[in-house]
Order: sequence, then structure tokens, then C-alpha cells
Amino acid sequence: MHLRPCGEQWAAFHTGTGDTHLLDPVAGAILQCLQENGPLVLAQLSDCLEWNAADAGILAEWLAALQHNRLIRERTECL
Amino acid sequence: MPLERVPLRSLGPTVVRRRLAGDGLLLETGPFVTRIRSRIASVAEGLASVYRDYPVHEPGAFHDFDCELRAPRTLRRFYHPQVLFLSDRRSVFKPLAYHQAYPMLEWGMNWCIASLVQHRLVLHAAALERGGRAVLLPAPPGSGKSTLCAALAHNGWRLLTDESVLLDLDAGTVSGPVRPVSLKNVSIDVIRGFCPDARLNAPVHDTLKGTVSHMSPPQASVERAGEVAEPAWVIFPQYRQGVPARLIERSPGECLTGLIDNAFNYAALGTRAFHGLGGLSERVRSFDFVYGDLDEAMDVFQRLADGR
Repeated sequence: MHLRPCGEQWAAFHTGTGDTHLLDPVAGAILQCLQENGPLVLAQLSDCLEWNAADAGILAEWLAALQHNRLIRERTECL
Repeated sequence: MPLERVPLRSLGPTVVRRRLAGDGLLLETGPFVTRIRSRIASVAEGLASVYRDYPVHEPGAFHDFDCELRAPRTLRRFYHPQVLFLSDRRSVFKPLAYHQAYPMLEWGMNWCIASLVQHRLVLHAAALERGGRAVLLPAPPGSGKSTLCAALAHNGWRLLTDESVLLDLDAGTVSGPVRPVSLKNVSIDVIRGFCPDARLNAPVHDTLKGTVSHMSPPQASVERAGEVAEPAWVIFPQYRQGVPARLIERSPGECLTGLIDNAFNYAALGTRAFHGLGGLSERVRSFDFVYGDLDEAMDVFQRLADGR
């Protein structure tokens, strides 16, 4: 997976399928964090995003949504 | 040793026909040289009409693409005759009616760029340059791209291409083959009225795209065909009758997805194309552009060029 910022969004290129996805800023930051830090560590992720403890619940919800691709908008949906 | 090249118009019709019927006419269009072979009269006439200012190379010189148009060697040549387009001696399309030989050559030359070029990212888009800055117009057929492109080419913008933008992924610059602009149906008369100086060849009727005619680029565009430009705008045009001209800004991400959808070899070039188009999308300003009137459209592009 290749990631790059694209304005306020992020773009991800999947080298296996050749597909490109536009990501919400938060999803992009999480993916970047995962790429840099390997296995998902919630505290590390929260630290990477500079969020305080009060946002942990929101972070958990976002991660759950990410697992169901809700935060990843297929490029066809953006047209 | 410098290449020997002369304008096609200097050869005269007899030499053009002889080369086409023999080893081929080597036509230079921007960065490409195409060898064209055909004994079909309308091909010679079409080339002489719209490519008269283009350089032609000596027979036997290097060429990038090899194209041939000929009738199939079947009994069909006597009854409802047809024409075949061959690239490197291989037929790549279904045959068309014989009278469509010239537009078939243009479509075949487009196919060569879209299918065979891998050293540049190839976008299905028009591109024009002004003051060293290029505007890219990616759009599907029927969007009014070619009409807008033809009008801009006669209103202060240098034509790079009507069909195939070549993006240099290392330098970030764009160029084009500076080929004739393909006009269809009502656009033919629209451009005849809007650009009285435009040179169009004889329309060909009853093609898959309706009636088609090709407009020669202005001579200055042909003479500067080797000059690249820095992309400054990516504009997705859409003609809508009676609608006032309007620009709607696109985010870099939306620009990127629009460019990917109009790229011929994005998947083949992989990560280089992803980062190249991603960088381009962040450097340019991008808009959707709806227009219903060419005068209004020219004003919008004038304001863009002026930075207003």
C-alpha cells in the first residue's frame, strides 16, 4: 500500500489490485500510523494522532468503522 | 546527422500518394513519427488537407508507429467495400465502410498512442498552453471537450493535443502530439462559425460517431510541437445547452480520481503513476466547468490565464 496526502485528504494506492482510494484525513492518518508502527497499538495510535484520553471512545468507533470500510470512500463514489 | 524533414505540403500530391502506396509516408506529430501506408485516395487527400504544415521524414527513417489502411482481401471489396486498419501489420479494429478510411486512420493513430506508449502517462484529455502554463481538459466523449479545445486553439491558446496528454512523470511537464481536432455533428458548424479561419477537412458521414471532420491546428501550434508546458489547471468540461458558464472547484483528491479515470496506462505504470498524478493534483487548480456558450467559455479561460 502506498499512501500520500492529497490536499486535506489522503490517497492510497493498492499495489496488488492497482486500485486507488481516497481516504478521510483521519483514516489516512491511521493508515500512515499503522504503516510506520506495524501492529495496531491503540495508545500508540492515539499518541500519533495527538488525541487526548477523552477522544479514545471516538477513536475506537473510527477504528471499528474503518474495519468495515465505512471511512474508505471508493473513488467511484466520489464522482 | 540532423534528420531530413520537410513540410508535407512541399512534397506535392503525387509524391505523397507514391510514398503512401510504397514504403510509407513518415509523418511527425509532436514526439512521434508514424509510418502510414495506404493506396486509398481519401487517405492521401485527408492527410494533404489537415497535415499540410507537419514535418515528413525521409523514407526509411526511424518511426514509432506503423499504420496501414487497406481493403480486406475478400469478395467484400467488390460489394459494400470496407477498410481495415493495421498496426504493425495486425488488424486491430473491425472493418469499417470504405468511405470512413480517413477518420479510421485518425482513430487508429489515437489507438497507437493509447495502447503502445509506456514511457509517459497517457491521459484521455485535451491540453492547451498559454504563457508556459497548460490547462488539461479530461472528459469522456460527448462532453464538448473537442469543441472547447478547437475554440481555445483559435483564441490565444497553443494546442498541445485534443485527445492524448503525455505526462512526464519525472519532470511533471505535459506535451502532446498536436494532432488535428476531431469535431463531430453540430460541433462542425459551430466551429466553422466561431473560428472562420479554422481549416476543416471534408466531413465524413454515417460513422459510429455520426458526421466527423478534422480541424488542423493553427500553424504556430504545429511549429512549437516540441515545447512542453507546466500543468496549471485541470478542468473537467461539460457542455449543457443554455447553461451559463460556471467553474466549480474540485479538491485535489477529486482531481486525482478524475485524472485516474481518464488515464490509459495508470495501472501499467503503477506507483510511479500514483505519485505522479498525486503530485500533479496538488500543484494545479482543478474545476468542473459547465458551459453552454463558447463566448462565455472564452471569457472564463481568459480570466483564468490572467489570474482573476
